[in-house]
This record gives sequence, C-alpha cells and structure tokens, in this order.
Amino acid sequence: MSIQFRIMLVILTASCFIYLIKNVKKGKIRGDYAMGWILCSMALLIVSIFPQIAYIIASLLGIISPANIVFAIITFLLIIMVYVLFAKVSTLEEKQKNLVHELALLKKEISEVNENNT
Amino acid sequence: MCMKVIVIIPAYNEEDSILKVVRDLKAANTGCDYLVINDCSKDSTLEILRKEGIQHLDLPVNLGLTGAVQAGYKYAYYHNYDAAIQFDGDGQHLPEYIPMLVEEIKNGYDIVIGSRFVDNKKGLSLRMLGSRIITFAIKLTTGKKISDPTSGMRIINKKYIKDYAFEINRKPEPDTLAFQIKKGAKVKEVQVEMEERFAGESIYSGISSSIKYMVKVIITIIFFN
Repeated sequence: MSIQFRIMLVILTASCFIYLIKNVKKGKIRGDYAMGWILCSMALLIVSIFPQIAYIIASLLGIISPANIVFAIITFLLIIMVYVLFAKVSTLEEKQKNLVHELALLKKEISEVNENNT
Repeated sequence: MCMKVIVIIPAYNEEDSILKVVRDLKAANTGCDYLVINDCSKDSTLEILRKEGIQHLDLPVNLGLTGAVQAGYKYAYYHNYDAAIQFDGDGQHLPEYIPMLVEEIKNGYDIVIGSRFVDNKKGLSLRMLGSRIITFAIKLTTGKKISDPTSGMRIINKKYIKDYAFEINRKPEPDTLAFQIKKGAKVKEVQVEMEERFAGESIYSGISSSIKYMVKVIITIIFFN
C-alpha cells in the first residue's frame, strides 16, 4: 500500500471515529449501534498503521495488491452491516405492527367500557 | 421522612421464579411498592401475574432488559416516586437488603448499588475476572472504585429516575454507571448477599456472549462516556 493511501485511510477513519463518538455523547445514536462502526474503524485504523497485516492476508489469499484486500474487507463489512440493518428493520416493522394492533385493540376496549358506563 | 419507593422487577420468561420473588418481597415488609414488567414473555409469566393479582405492566412487544426497566422508571416518574429499585425476577436478589439501600438514598446518595464485594473478596472465576476488568476501567476513567459494577440490584433517586426514564443510552449496565459518576452522581455501595439464581439462565452465560458483553462495556466506558 502506498504511503499516500495509508495516510488517507488514517485521516478518514480517525475523523469518522471522532464524529461517531461525538454523536454518541450528544445522544444522536445509541451506544450499541455505534459499536459495530467503532470496531470496524478501529480495525481499519490498525491495518492502515500496520500494513503488514494486509500484506500477510493478501499473500495468504493469493491477491497481488494488498490495497485490494483492504477494499475487499471494507466491502465485506459493509455487506454485513447492511444485512444487520435489514434484520433490524424487519424486526422493527414486526414490532411496530404488533404495537399498532395492541393500540387498536385497546382503543376498542376503552370505547366499549365507555359505552357501558353511559 | 417517608419516602415513596418502588421496586421494579423486569421479567422475561420467569414463570418458575416470579411468584416466589414477589411473595418474598411482600413478606419482607419493606414498605415499598413493586411493579413487575412482563417483557412479552413467551411462557406463562403473564398468566401467573394475572392470576395472582400481582401489580404488573405487560409490554406488548419485547424490548429487552433495558427497555423493560425503562418502562418501570417511566411509571415511577409519572407516579412521583422518590426512589426506584431495580430488582431481578429470577430470585438472585434478596428483599431483606432493600431497606439498607433506601437508607442510603435518605442519606443523600443518588445511586446506591447492592454489592457483593464491599467486605467480601472476589473469587477467581472467569466471571470475576470480567468484573475486575470493569472495576479497573471505571476506576481509570472516573477515579472511583466500584467493587461490584455488574450488580443488577441498584436504587436511584428521583432526579435519576427522570434521567433513566427518558434519556438515550441508559442501559442498566456498568457503563451507564461510569457515565453517571463522571457527570457527578454520588454513588455508594452497600454490602449485600445474593442467592444463586434458582431458575432461568444468566443472559451473559456462554463464552461468546460474555466476550461481546465485555467488549461493549469496555468500549463504552472508554470512548462514549
């Protein structure tokens, strides 16, 4: 990996890291959701400071350019995150639906109680 | 001075223990109200609560421990309680120690923890190693020694009921505790005994979930607080 690429990686991941932590402190994102991002950016930071790791993985997998392995890992992590997000959204939608049902049932129950009282 | 204190008991699939926990609590005559939060249990917890006439909230969707406890804090806030105790539904915590916790709130502390290790020494199991690491991390970032940070038995006063009920990132976990200490909460630990859980399983059992838990707590304590 070229030194320019490494410097760019360090600056970008470090600023993402700081931005993320600021947002958690401000209460804009929940800590457990920020956790995945923190871990990923830490891993990226380590790889860009110690590129030997990328060299080792690249030679193990038979990839010529170690920069490519970095891209591949980032893409892979992004795919995982998108999947996790999909899973979250589907459970969220399910919960929201159940909540709406509960509310509707409750509304009916209350109106029945009111009718009985008048 | 008489305080209105509520005991919040989050319960998820606790059909084997919840009745005993509530009965013991009533028998202990602590002078506190109680509220069981049924976090959408899949077993017969809700039927037991209904049949026995136990005060409870029934959450229509599963929120997890954090959300369940927070529901209890909201109830405490809207009903003007002076202090709220978080108390496990699996029989680990003993109601005899509740008055001691309440006493410390009267003495002006914000958060009081029922701790197993004020007077007693920690063991050498893997779990205790985790506890030690968290204690060390809290000591490092706040300067205060919390000997039993993972204890689930804690009482908070009125000011913190509001905070815990409405703010983001208020998990009932050691990282939140570190955050509150940093923000200036007066925290005290009181020696209590705890029972081995007689039913149910710890949500932190298993190596991978323990490691996950440790990583989460440590990262939160170091970076997010």
